[in-house]
Amino acid sequence: MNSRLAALAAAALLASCIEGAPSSVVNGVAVVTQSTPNTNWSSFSTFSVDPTVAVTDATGSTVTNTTVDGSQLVPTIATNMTQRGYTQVTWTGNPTTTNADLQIKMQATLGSQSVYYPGYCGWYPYYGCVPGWTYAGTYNFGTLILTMGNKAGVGSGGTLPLVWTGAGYGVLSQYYTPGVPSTGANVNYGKIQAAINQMFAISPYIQK
Amino acid sequence: MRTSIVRIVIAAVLLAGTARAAEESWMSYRPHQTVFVVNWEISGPIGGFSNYISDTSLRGISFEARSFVRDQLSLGLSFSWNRFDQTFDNVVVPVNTTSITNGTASGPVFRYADGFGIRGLAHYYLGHSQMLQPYLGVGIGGAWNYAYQQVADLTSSQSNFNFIVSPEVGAMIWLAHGASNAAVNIAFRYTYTTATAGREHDLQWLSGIVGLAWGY
Repeated sequence: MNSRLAALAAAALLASCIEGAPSSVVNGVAVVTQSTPNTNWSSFSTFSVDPTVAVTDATGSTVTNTTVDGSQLVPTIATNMTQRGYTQVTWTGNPTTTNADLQIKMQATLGSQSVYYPGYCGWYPYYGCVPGWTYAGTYNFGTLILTMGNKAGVGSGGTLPLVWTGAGYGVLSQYYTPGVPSTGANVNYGKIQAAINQMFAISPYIQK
Repeated sequence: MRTSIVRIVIAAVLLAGTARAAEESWMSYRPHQTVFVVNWEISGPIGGFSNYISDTSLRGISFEARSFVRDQLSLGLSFSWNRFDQTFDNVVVPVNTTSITNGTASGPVFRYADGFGIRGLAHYYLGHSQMLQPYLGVGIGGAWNYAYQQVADLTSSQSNFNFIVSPEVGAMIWLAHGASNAAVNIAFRYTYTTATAGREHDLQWLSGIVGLAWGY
């Protein structure tokens, strides 16, 4: 009997010693950024942000593509860019007619899937270059992706060479619910804005 | 009378022979010459390991069996477990993989490293005090190590079996001698392994050790 109690006590002690990641990590903001090598950031003067968020939802049995209004996120991006010395220009809805050196798009992915940057042609030779689409990798649930293209290299069909990407992992779990487009009520803007700020914080080379 | 004396002499010789045979084989169990030890280990990573986890670990335990093959020399076996873990509010690391080049990643990170070691032990005891037995020791063997990293729900891990060597200095403070012997064991140990955790290799740590020893 005593040996059983001792075994139970030992098991309880061992279990108490083994713990998982705290919620601050599990629900934390994880960010990855990537820049095109040899980009001359001081050569750019203006930027513009497309306020539309392209949402790719792969949580269901079929992948759906929709768009939601992301205008509430634009000021966060604009503030960071302005602090780096760039001047904001109005987005016209078309990259070829928007008179900005740097053009920023937002994309949201729900579910785990391969992601393609719309409207851009990447610099990565091993990705290939499908007109209008560039493979970006596989992202998991609730990722916000910012892409920044260089207007000077605009190609046919309005594709821009990519100079920077930022991905905020796991920040959109409350941003978009299937069937319930973003209305603000189900959006954790604080978490999204923190991710955007962190993307710029770890990209100090973005500087006029 | 003569018969009794002969019996006593024969018995004494046989018993002496048995004791000597027992002394000659260190694998044999000898109640008054085998000591079992349970240790609590407080450990701090050093070297590259401290780049992975810098917090002091209070989660370490080891079990030892020491068998005296000479008055001042014991050989034995040890099983040990050490866990190191730490949560970082924000870690910024460069990323250069096949899918992401020229990149940077950041976020809150949880890391831990487990080490399960099995070592052969040798200890040399200094002096002949009945109360205090200082010793020098070394353990050599193998260790299974598991290291884990998590950011959000993204995880990665490394699992490997490694060489481990651990010299130590310490002392047995004997509390009781007799049919049962009991002592407090204190030691200071350096552990070197060829284990890998994250981007760090050859994990090393220093341990302060306190334990209970008994022999009977």
